[in-house]
Amino acid sequence: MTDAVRSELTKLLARRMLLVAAVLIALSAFAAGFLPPALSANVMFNRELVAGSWGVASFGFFLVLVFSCSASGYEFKARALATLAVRGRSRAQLMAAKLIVLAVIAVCAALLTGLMLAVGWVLGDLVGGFQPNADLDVSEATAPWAEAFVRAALVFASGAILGAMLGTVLRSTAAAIIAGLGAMLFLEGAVSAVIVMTGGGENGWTPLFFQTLTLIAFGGEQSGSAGDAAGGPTPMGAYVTLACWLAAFVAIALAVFRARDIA
Amino acid sequence: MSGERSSNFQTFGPGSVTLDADAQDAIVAEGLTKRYGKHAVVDGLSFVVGRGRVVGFLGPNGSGKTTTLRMLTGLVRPHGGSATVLARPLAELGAVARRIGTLVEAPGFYGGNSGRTNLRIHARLAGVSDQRVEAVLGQVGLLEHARKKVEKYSLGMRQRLGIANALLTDPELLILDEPMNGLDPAGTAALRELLISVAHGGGTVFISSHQLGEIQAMCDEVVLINHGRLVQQGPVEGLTGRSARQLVVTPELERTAAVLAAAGLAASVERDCVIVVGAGHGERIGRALMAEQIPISALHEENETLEALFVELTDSAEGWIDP
Repeated sequence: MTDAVRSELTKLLARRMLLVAAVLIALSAFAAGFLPPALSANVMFNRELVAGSWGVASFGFFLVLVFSCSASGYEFKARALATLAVRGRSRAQLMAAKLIVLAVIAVCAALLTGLMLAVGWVLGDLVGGFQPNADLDVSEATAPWAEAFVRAALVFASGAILGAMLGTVLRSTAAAIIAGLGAMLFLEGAVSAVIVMTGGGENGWTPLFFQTLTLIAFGGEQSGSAGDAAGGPTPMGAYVTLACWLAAFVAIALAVFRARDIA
Repeated sequence: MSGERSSNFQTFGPGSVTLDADAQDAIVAEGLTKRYGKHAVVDGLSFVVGRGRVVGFLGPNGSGKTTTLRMLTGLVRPHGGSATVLARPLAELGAVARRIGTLVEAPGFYGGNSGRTNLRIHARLAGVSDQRVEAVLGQVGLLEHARKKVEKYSLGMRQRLGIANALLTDPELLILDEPMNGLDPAGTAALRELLISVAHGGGTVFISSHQLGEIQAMCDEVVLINHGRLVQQGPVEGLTGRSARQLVVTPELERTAAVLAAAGLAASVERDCVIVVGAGHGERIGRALMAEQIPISALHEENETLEALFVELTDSAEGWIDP
């Protein structure tokens, strides 16, 4: 298994698109730390460090999803997977290695996000009060930083796993991206609307994949209280829902991957 | 080729599926079947590849060769029949995968990565050192192009990389699908020598190719299929020698034919020479004609080429328009 993970790591780290995604995430996180008060007030939670992570996580989710779809879809297009699959590793092993490496990459991306948020936040304050309400007390900054990191890691990992699974099932980068973004941006919205219209989801929350992600990304430290007040899920409830969805995606993709011939 | 290598490979006609296989065989396929929809691409295919031999796998386009090789490498699951590779059933290929080198169709690599990185990805998966990567890159003459992205490789260079990849684990069985595609003459010759040396070292090569001259030159045996079914299999010399004939050029045609017929040979006059059907009759012909003091200006044996045999047995020329 270690060999398979090392192989997968070599493969993904060699993709230039990963570097592009990392730079974009880093820049957006850095910029989020500089949010002008007027803009950040419109965004969320009054220029808290956590607020910056919202935008980065949402943006990063799509970025990681596209990267992941591309990395998986390309393997089929270039027939590189067929060349790898004869190496004697079971398909479950190949997929597990991919998931492990994507999780590691997601955590690294989250660390990068947290780091760049903190740097942007500190620099923003130093160079002219872009963050006038920011508290430079490091001890007070630690809690929101940790929350931003966890949130970014979860969201990035979700995007990465979802993308990889879609790429594996659909065997095409374009189809995976279209399916992923289309389902989340349009299909889930429609499903959610139907649920609400038919009397479900009275509390304003439906356990859909993107809705769950949105809840995590938007909820932050208020999600618990806001959720409780509205009768919605706590952050832990949202995380569990997200984990169930991801497990379902992985199970379906693994079943398809194992059953299907590799052309 | 190496005549001392033993063979438990038997010559079968299309109707026969009796196999003389044992655990020492590198590949044993029995009734392999693969369907796409209702169409059987491979239809009850049986053959044996003995260890330490170079065996050609021949058939017209669309005859099921690549599908068969995919089944033997675990990429495609058969709908019927069974096979063992290095004495393991297909379901347990993982246990012997490190001992098998594979090149199926055009080798697929990550185009944005260099040849070296691509091989390292495989090396990690196979548990092979980076030194081995450098060794196989050198073996196929790609060291100086190892840093170049694979998407910038020519067809021949990709093919070399595919061959290097197949050699990565120093396998005892090579399964190669059209490995000569895109190779220049020097590369083809080098590959031929390489494969023969693999067999001399005790390894086994099962190779599919349309370059029948090369197959005839390097292979001990061939498996010939058409429409997913076995047409013929056996030693190359046995197959091509089936319709061998001796040509005797002499000014006394009628007398020569009569003398040779009297000597028990199937001789007949054809145009300006005497034809004797069968292989290896040169010495008998020489003795018979010398005894009768019949002058000859030439005596040579004509063997059927593998290409002629291929066309004859598969009707693969059908459908082409005569120029």
